[in-house]
Amino acid sequence: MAKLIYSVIASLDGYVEDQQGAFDWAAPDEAVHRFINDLERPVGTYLYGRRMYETMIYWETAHAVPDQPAVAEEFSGIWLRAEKVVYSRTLDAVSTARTRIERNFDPDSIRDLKASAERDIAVGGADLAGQALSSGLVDELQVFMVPALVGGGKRSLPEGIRFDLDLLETMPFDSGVVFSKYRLKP
Amino acid sequence: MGKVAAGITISVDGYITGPNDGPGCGLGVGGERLHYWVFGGPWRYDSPERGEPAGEDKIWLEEALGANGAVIAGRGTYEAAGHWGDKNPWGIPVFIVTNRPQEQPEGEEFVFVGGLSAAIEQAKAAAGDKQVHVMGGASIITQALAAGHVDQFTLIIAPVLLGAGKRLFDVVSDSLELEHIGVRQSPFATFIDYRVLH
Repeated sequence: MAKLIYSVIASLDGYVEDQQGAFDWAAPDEAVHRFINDLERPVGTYLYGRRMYETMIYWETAHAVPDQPAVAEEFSGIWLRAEKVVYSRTLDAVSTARTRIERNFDPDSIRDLKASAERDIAVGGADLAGQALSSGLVDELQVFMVPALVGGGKRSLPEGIRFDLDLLETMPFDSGVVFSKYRLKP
Repeated sequence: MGKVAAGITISVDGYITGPNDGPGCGLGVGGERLHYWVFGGPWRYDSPERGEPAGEDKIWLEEALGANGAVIAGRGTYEAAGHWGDKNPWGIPVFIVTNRPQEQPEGEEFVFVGGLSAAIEQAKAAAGDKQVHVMGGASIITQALAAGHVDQFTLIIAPVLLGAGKRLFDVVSDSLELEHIGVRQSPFATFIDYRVLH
């Protein structure tokens, strides 16, 4: 039995990207990145929306980039070892290993995956994560709150869902980023 | 001159009320969860039982209350609170920002002021060396942040996803630089203190 985790880096006002589609303000520094590596190491499978997948493709070859910081090299290794599922109606082929395409978000198949998987599952991309939350599939929410107000853009959490949460952990970083981990109550 | 502080409780998804907030239901339907930290646990608008804050929640409240020399609230908050029974509950000057200052109630419990900047000015003068607390609602806090009045901002995050209601930051369209001061945690809330860089 595996957990489904939604982990997200968001501005204080709850956006993953600003109105221009930029998220440079969300880039983790070394301390946050190291913490992310520790969080992600147990993840066995990533579920991605198409745009999130295209952003993450970088990690397939990041270990070959010269002068890569150790934390980035390590994350690249974590990513390479995990299985990936990309949800897209338009994508025909993928360029990364251990990756398959699904045409539709099917809650039942994710329920089956959770039941059979031994390692945790992480959902990435605000739209896909919103569907997983709305379907009641997410067990744990991890939020990295960046001390910036960006005023608009793409929301980190969907409208119209209501859950009581248990706060499991809070971790502040020198950069002002605050990490909070919550369990969604069924 | 003391500083100006503001703090507000939001859900993890950024709402400061559930849906349909109004008199008798200031935090909206199902919004009570936001203020469990204020009452030491579960409470409901339709039941008179209220507990007392404990632990970190109590410490934060007492520190904030002890530091305050004046309070500013919006007219909507004043009405939603039922005028606090027409009695000033803080024992320090309270300024209510309203478009209709001529509706100033009799007595000296509350001072109606016709604009936020004027209210800040009067509250600072009244507070002396102590801090001015901008208590809400959301539009007053965001206006105060956007106008550069606020020196310290506390975001109090309650562990709930509300999914609907009023959002705190809808009206802040400019970006703001914040410096992290500290974080504390209780079972009912995470308190994050920021210094606003002007």
